[in-house]
Amino acid sequence: MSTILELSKKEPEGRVEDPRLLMGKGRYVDDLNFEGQAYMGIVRSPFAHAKIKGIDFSKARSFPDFIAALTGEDLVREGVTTVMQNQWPPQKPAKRYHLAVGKVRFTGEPVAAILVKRKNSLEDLLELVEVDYDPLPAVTTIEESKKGTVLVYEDWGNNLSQNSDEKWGSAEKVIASAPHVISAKEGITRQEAAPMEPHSTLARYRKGDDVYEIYATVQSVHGLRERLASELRMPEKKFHVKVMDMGGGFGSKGAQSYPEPLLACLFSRMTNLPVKWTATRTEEFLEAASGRDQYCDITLACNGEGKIVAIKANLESDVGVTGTQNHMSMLSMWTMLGHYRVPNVEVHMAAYATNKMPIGPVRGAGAPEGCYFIERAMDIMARKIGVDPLELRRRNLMAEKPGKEDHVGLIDALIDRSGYEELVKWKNEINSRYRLQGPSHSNLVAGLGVSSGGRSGFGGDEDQDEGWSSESAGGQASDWSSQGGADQWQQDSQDSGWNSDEKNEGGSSSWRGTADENGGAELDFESEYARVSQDRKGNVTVYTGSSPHGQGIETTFAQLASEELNVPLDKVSVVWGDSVQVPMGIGTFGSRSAVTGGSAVVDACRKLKAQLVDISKGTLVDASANQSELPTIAEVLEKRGLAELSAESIYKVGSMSYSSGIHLCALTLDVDIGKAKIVKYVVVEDCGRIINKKVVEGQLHGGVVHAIGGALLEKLGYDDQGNLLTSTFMDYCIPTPLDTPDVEVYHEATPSADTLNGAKGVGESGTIVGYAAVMNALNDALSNVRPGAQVDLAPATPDSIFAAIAGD
Amino acid sequence: MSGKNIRVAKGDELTVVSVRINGREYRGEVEPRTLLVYFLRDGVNLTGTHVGCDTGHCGACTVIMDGKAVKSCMYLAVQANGAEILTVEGLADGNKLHPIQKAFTENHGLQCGFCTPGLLMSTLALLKENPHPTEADIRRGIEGNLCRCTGYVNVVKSVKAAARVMSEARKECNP
Repeated sequence: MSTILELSKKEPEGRVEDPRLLMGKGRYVDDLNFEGQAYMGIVRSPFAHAKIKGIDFSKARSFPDFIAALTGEDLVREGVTTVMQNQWPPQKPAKRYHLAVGKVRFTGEPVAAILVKRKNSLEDLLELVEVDYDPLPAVTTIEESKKGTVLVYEDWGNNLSQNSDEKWGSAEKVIASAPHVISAKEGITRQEAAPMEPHSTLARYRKGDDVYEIYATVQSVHGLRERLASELRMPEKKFHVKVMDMGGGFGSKGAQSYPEPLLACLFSRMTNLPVKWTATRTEEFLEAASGRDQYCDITLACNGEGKIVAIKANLESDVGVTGTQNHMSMLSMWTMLGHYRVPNVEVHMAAYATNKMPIGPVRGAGAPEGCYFIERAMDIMARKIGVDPLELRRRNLMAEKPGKEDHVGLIDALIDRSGYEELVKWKNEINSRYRLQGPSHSNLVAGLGVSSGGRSGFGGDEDQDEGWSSESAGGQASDWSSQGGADQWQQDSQDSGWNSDEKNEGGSSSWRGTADENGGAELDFESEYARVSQDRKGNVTVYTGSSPHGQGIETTFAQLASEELNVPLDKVSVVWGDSVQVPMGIGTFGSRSAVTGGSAVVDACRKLKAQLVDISKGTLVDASANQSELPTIAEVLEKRGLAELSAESIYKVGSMSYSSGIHLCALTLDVDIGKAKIVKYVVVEDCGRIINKKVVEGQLHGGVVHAIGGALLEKLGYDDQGNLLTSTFMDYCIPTPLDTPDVEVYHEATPSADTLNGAKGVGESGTIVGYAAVMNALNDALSNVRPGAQVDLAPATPDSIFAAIAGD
Repeated sequence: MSGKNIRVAKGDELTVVSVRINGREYRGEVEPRTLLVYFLRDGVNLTGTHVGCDTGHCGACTVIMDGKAVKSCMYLAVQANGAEILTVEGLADGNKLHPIQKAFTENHGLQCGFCTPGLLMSTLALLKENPHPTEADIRRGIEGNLCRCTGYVNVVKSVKAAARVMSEARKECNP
């Protein structure tokens, strides 16, 4: 394969962001304070499902610190719409308000909001708000949800939120006659994004110009502006949304519609005071989007040569009270075939509502589940046929194609880089000691696990699309919105009598950004906005719609502009996270910023350079402002009477390019305590052109460790009443320095032909591919304790490991 | 250094707290239940010390109190009366980064930066106690600090680099 590892010549020693963050000078939302600000607190439901009979503020009101209160009924009176939901893919609209109206549907649901004078009295006064509930039976599992005895939304008629089917070939028939067939029940439990910084909002209503100024923890300022405008039924220009530094997001600060920014705006307008709100960690666990909660019955069939001939799968998701975003199950379907060519496919997906917090994207947003389902099944198949798991993948992965990553080449690189043969020897030694000496002398077994894939599944990889469409019985694989889900939803909506013109219907959002207010140019998931300007001194400013929160975009985008315009890095500054300074944008999530935002920066820089040529009438200009025979930018601007040159780009990439990789996990399992220890973790990755190696590797390290947490530790637990059992970092265990290994990362870089800078999105790939590597290694180790011992539900907690060993 | 009067709360019963923070004296009246971390953030406006949880698990609020790394959300401000505190703002010498800070930027030991102040303070305490830590020592030493971005890989690398640089600097001072 052609390996081109093009490192940037201008990669700086440290990131531009680092000095302020290291010196405690970062400016996170909770660090900001306005003179005279008041503090907002949220009264949350202690029940998963209950009628609200009454809310009494009289005790709280009697304290001098009490300023104001809001309830769901107040919001309805104000004309606030229901919580916004994305239009794609189709899901049944949920009539849910930012503060519950009439009924609560999940534990922690906001019921009322109060505003107080001092931070210290907030919790005191929250406790004095009396809410009279009439508890109802709660739906807490998919099984109960399917029965429909209790309905989450009465107007639905059942609890099915979303469904979709895909079928081509004749999977059923092929499976019946295939020589090798395996079936498995796999799943990943509900897990929390858990960024270290809790959500926070600071809002100030400016009476003079009737504008709301909002600082908020969001991955897209323009997304929040759009939601607020829609839900408060006001023009977008009335909202100035800003974010400065942000302490991680991982999807939970993405496009969800949370009540707090809206409530803070309303309180500020009511009282003319700035309003501050910051979540406690427990509020984070109760309300900030959690993800996964998807389960899959999968049947995989191979022919005599170990080539996949058919996949049949039934995917079920628990989507809680349903969220703003609902594409996660769809993305699981898309990624479920991995990078394999499968001639016969039958996949059914159904998402069910329960009395749990709304589902949302968590790093990978459905792709970790899809990748886990297929890669775990591949391992079970390899064991059944009796071939090495890498060999089975080699037989099935798509071969090299010009301009595309070479998946088979990644396997060779992994074998080479990880010292695979040595690792197999290491594993066999530990396991033969366990077998020979017996569990009374040795409590350690060892396992190796591999996993391959990425975010691009058959919906995102045109290489695969070509293969599919010719064999697909049901139209283009990439055109899923026309499939069963949409039809089914229309049918359902007619049955339930839902009237989409009803007053206070939830706002809806596509990925359009701010198109209507910006001259019709459209932004969607595959595009991003950038403007680049250069002043008379040669200083370059990049304005981007990307919205970093740890990804180092101030550094990488400055590198791109510095290279394109040939100016020193320290002459470039990057402006982001301000809905006025940057007129439009999509934001940072879904492994998209280097790809879309980075391409837009390159495009704007090239347009700027073209202007330099135009202005000086065909003569080149030295953009670096160095003295040379060429006219300098200063001379050009002076001559033209301009302060700066500027060029904009709304750049749409050819197609979303995602990095793909292959992971290897080596671990030991202590059978006495049911705990695994990862001793070696190797990633071989093709993320295209690497703009900044440290940043790319940092994304992979964090992504992999997120998957390790998801595979071994992280579980949002609920009791049968729908009470959340894991509301602190004591019970919800994200990985600590003691749970985690060194993560070795190696690159095989094939620049993407679909992006202007050759980059592929890498932010989520560590998490997407990681789950299966860890779970496969664990199951490989378990097979030494008892043949057939298997854990297929992540996380593999000690109790599930003991149950597998015991054969329960 | 002249003392600065601060007032954290306006409750009825207030207690006087005097603390030396980053070499400067602060004296303020606080409600007795005020946590040290809010005294630092809201009272003294040292917002580099962060609050990532309220149960003492995440370590984003770690500061050095009388030479020991403590989680400032687990202390009342009144318990810090008379103490000497070092926060992340006191680590650099003007704009010159402390060797630990320098090691973190050079080794990309931070991403979103939210947990970073706590990690820097824990590292300072660790290297004071154990100037030549092994990787296992480092992981144990920063066990109380959670980070969701880095997977700790480059954090560990940063701490190792800081230990090396700081011990070389000591050798140069005391040959």
